[in-house]
Amino acid sequence: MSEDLEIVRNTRLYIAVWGILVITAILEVLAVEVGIVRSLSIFLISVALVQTMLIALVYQHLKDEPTSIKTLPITSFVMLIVLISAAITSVLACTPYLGG
Amino acid sequence: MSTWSWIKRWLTTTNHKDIGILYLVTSIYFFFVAGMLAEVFRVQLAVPEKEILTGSEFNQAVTIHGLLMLLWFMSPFQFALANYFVPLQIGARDLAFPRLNALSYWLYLFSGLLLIAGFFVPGGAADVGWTFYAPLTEVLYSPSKGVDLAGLAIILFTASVTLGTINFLTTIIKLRAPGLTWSKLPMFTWSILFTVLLMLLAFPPLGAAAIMLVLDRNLGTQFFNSLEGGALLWDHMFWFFGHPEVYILLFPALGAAADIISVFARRQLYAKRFVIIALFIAVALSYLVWMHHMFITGTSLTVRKIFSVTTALISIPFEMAALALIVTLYKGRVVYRAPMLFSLAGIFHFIIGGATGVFQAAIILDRQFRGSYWVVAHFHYVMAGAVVFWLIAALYYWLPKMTGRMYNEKLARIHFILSVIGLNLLYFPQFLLMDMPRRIYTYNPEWKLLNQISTVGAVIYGLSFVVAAYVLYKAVRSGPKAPDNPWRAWGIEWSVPSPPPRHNYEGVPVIRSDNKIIFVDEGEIKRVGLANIINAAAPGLSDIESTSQVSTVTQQGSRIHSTHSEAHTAHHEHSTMMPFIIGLGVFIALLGAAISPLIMGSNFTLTIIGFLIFLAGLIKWAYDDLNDRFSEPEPEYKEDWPFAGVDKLRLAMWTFIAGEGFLFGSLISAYLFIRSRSLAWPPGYELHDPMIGLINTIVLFTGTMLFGLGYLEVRKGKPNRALLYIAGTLVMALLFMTIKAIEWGELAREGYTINSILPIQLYYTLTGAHGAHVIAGIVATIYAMVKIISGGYNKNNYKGLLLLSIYWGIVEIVWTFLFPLFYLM
Repeated sequence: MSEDLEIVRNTRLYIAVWGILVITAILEVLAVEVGIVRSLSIFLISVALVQTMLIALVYQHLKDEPTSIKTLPITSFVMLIVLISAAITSVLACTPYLGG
Repeated sequence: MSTWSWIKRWLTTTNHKDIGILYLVTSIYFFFVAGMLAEVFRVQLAVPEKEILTGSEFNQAVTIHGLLMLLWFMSPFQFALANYFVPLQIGARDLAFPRLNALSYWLYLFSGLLLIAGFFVPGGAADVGWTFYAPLTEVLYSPSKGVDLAGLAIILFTASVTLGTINFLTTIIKLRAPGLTWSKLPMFTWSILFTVLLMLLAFPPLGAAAIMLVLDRNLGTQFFNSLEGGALLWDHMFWFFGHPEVYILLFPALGAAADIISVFARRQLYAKRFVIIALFIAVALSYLVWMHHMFITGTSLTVRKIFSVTTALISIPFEMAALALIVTLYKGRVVYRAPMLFSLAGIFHFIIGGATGVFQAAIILDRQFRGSYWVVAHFHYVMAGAVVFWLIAALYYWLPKMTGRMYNEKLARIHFILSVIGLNLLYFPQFLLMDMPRRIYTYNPEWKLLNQISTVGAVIYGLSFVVAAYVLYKAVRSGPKAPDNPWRAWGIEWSVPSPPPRHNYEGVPVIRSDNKIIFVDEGEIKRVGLANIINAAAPGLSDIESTSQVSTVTQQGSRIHSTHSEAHTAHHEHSTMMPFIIGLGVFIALLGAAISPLIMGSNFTLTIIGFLIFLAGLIKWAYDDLNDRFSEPEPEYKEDWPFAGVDKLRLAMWTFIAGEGFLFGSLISAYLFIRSRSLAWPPGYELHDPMIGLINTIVLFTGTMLFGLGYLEVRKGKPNRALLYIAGTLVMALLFMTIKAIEWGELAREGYTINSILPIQLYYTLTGAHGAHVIAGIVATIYAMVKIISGGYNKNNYKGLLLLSIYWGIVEIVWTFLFPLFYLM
């Protein structure tokens, strides 16, 4: 693919992703205002994850990076999930408010 | 050289060897301060009921001793050696980002001074223990400004570490000499790589915790002083840093010891590949053991069991490493010189320290030993007995290379004997004091004898360092001239003169497939072909002189010439005072922020002055960049698998992003932790207007998209259109901050200030940290626009814009989580 063609495609992609990000953000607010989803937290976190993926892949150009670079943010993201999950679950069973 | 020229040279240097020396001298200074504090409180503990120090003074001495030794001595000392030797060991001319390296050093120095400044304020230095356990650190229980200074010092130190991490990771990955594949890297460089990997993700939680602590103490938040957060939250954040920190301190020393033992046993390290794999496993496991420091805090039994198992597991890689070192000695032709003696004693102490640590993996035993002198003995055997011994070994090992002078072996052995006797007398009795609580300034007379033995040991151990200082002084002043390779060691650093020339190498160092190191100029590589040279098949290159058992070739024996003067000139031009100026500005600003309330009421002139100095430094730094003063092309011939094709700036940016992600992740983790422990948490949409949040979200999305379009226009060669789009980004970012400011103002008017309720406190903290990043993005975007106008960014050079788009991306990603967390849930 020539560089010019790639730039044109990227331009369209940037605008399309912007559209998706805006629509999903509006959906998030609607979910709260109208109450259309059963589990709000899971819905909102899922949307945030999709938005994160789009931003990283397109706006941060991760889609064009080699696997070695992709590994860096993915590893730290997984480590973060471990940290957050472990910290929270460590107290759920013993917090004075929740019993156990 | 006049005095001013001498001072200016050290203030402006960006050369990795100079920075290494600066780190070395500074860390030794902090070691001296920490050591003197230890001697004083050991004298206090020689006799029960003694009151040389009051309880508070004792606590200050213990706290600052711990902090200085762990953060301001051990790691920086290791990075002094890393600064000096990693580029030499991998065949690079310098670190990937020399200016950043200098900035990292100055931030380190000033952070240490900030910590020590605590001794000069009313109430004294931090006296809360190096672990800063909450809620003791709250202003109600520890009102001294020394604690604030310590908190700010830790934040500054974290910034310094982050810069260093990015630099070393990029250097080791991207700047290895041709032929220096991963398997051929010396253990010391491997260990530094593992260390920076640990630092990258371990320090941000500490930085986040320190920020929250400073807010608690100064703005009235209650993160660590509430039932929902409190001690448990601090424990999580601190120990998520604290346990990897043990390996951060251990790895470089272990790596150096592995190289030294291998050289002095005249054998390659036994099972080197397995040792590397074992250490990599330890890196991964080290993030999964932090809660063993929290067995008695009330975490659930299941979690305790899991962490008990991971703690037991993590001992296995280190047992493998220790075993490999011992097996290396087997059948080796061991030469007992000072570096080897210290390395061997280090293994002995490491085994004692490690074995006694395994006890703590058992929940029951941990409950018994926790907070006792058993623990003090255990970690000092590892830290002072293994790490410090290996560092001394490394210093003796590399001293001839750094100074060009040999030390006196007889005196070094006296140093060794005194150290071993002193250390064991000092710490072994403390195992027997397993009933005695640590951190008490006086004690029950029944513990007198063991304490006295311990104090005698402390004095002998202290004396051993006086001898060490004399050995070093004598060597530097009048030691016999050192040959280039006094130990007949292998590794590229031994192939250059002692001390190495400022530019390190003449030509390109190439490691051939037969492990010979040769130096070839670029013209020759072009003529013969790199693959031919590496495979030792190049005609005319077979007459290289071999000077050691493992075929290290000295520069004198090589066929290269030519690039000396150019390289020297390039280095000379890289001198700049801006890293020092920026560091000084931050130091004055933070010092002012901490002590102004004491001396000037609400007058923050000092902080403003510091900020202006910082700003001036930053502007000059950017100006130098605009004029391309510091750009240096990446070497054409290098080993950089698996990051081939990724330029060093992009790799560095992604590394930075990983760290930033962890900083925000830690803050968000704290938010979720507090919220999960709260019974009544008002939904975000009751406190904040979701529509305003939505507008701001769309504003931020639009700004990032426009930046992307601007970036594409630059690539198309249309700078005017690019400027238009990027100006749009700027407008959006400013709009975002304006809306945020209005929101904050509204909240404050409604009585929701930063010290009101936890949901609001967290809102201000997280959106404040995010806002600070938006402001940094605004500054960087203005710089990018200036560079586009000046033609610096164009169709052929748009690397910087790509980096900035990655930065805006992380700012946006963080917001995609903050928006639902604060406005919708």
